[in-house]
Amino acid sequence: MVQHVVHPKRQFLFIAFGGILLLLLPLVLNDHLMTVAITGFMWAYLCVCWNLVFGFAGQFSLGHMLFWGVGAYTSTVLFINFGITPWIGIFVGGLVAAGFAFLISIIILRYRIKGVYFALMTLAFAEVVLGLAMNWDYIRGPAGILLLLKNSPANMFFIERYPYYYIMLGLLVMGLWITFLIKKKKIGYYLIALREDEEAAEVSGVPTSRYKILIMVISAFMTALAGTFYAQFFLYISPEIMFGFGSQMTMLIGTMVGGAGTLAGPVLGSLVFSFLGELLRSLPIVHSREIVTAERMVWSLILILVIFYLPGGLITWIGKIKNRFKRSQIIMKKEV
Amino acid sequence: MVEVTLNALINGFLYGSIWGVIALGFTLIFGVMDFVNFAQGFFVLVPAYVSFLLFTSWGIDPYVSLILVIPLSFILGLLVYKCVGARLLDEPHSAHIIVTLGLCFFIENSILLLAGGDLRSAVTSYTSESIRLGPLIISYPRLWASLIAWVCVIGLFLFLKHTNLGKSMRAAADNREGAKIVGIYVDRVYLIAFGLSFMIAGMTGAVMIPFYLMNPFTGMDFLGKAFAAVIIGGLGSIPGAILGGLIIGVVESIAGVFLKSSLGNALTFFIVILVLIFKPSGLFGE
Repeated sequence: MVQHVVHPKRQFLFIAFGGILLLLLPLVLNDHLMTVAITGFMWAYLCVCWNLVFGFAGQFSLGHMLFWGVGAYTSTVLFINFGITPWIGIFVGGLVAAGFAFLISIIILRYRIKGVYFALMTLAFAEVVLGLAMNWDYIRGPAGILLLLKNSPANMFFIERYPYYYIMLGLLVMGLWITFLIKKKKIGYYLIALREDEEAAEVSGVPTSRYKILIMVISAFMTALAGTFYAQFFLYISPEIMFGFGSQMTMLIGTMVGGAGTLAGPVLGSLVFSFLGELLRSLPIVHSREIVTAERMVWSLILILVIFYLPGGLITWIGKIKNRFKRSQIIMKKEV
Repeated sequence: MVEVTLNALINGFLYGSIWGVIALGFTLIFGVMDFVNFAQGFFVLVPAYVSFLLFTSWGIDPYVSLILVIPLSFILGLLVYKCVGARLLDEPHSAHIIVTLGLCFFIENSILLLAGGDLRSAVTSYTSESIRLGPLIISYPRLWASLIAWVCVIGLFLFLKHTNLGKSMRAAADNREGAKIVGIYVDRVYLIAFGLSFMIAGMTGAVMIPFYLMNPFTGMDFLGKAFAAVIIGGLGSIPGAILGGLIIGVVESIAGVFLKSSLGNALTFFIVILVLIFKPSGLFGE
């Protein structure tokens, strides 16, 4: 019996190499590709956040755009109306979103809302907030808030792109690290038990309610950070962008295509889409509006096909390739 | 003020019957085969676009185009069942939602690519005609749309109550295994249920196009309305869907008079949350 465990030293080297590569990437990318990389990382990070709730705990939230939007609006309103720097606002936004998540989770648990009703409930909350945001003049209603482009690092505005790149990379690494910790620790096993069979988990002594609330709050906090980042980077937020269904759809597609409930799956899925989109855009055939539409058509087709034919997501392919590689190594060793 | 309120009520009732009948398609599929179809809104939109296309290119009246739209949407339903629905029956609800959302996204963007994002509506000779009853003004095409919606409702009710196929549909809804044992071709029943649901949706789309402005993103609004109506009335309940639709129509219409009309949607979903909290089985569910 030959056991193949990746050597911890080799794993460390691999991660260190990848990290240095990512840190040095801004040196070779031009402005456009930097934007692509930053946006790609942002979606990957959002997928990582959503994956915590759906992939690990099996809670099918369709209202994550609520947390995203709350993060963006909190920090932006704090900055514009009170002059509080977004460096603080980003965490205030996270806390507000976590508060929302806590409230929603409490209601959902208190009234035993499950399955499809859970999805519809989270969606309904997001829709209510969208409707209110559209009519709230204090945050300028449907017109949205436009931020001015200036260079003031103290307020998280930069002319150059590389600071944004490093902030987003930092967030993504943090998200992956949190996912890794959750997966390794007791909470990960609890969550997976909860996902697989809630009643059985409860009977075996898993405090399901507490962990459901906890994972939702963590995920909401993390999602809100990306919301603030979006506002600081794109300098424009509106209820349609922040509370519309679009961002939720992107999280869902990236996570499901990459592989829900895995560490690298969501990142893989969303990066594949960023890459595909960039590839489509570089084709000199049609103009950009049509490209965006065609890109989304391709995304949704891939989503459906992956769900039908590759339920574990693209990440299972990587596993298979790895296995085949290992197997051939074993065979070679035997032959020797 | 009384007149305005009365007019809003009537308008709300007319729209409400339309939302109700869209929700009916949703609830039929859910009730019969436990399938959550998030693409329902787009199966209102696609036939509406077909009807619009027929009107602008050959001047075929939207009501006449029903002759073509009804079988077309029925076939569309069969196709969607064969390609998507049948594979998902034994999967959890989240898989239904994910795949049908993918379908939504696909159709939305196909329409966007083919027809563009402009708001469209078939402006016929009777689009702005209305019947005046004293102080009441009833829009003519809306009245027709809501009448056709009620014909659908009654037709479906009679179909489920009195035909063999309808009875076997109810049997399959009650107990899938049991229905199989007594010799009902459950798969075929499901197929017909899908077709019927899409036929109803398509019919609604075609009769709405004379007065309702649609663009590719309207499908999501229809979906929102359908699902709100279904939750308020009770998932899987046919009278519940109609009642839910009527409640939404009236609430939004009254909100348009007394508050801002754009608050209507938020109010609807607020009601959805309240219903989910206090009576999750819906007002008409068991």
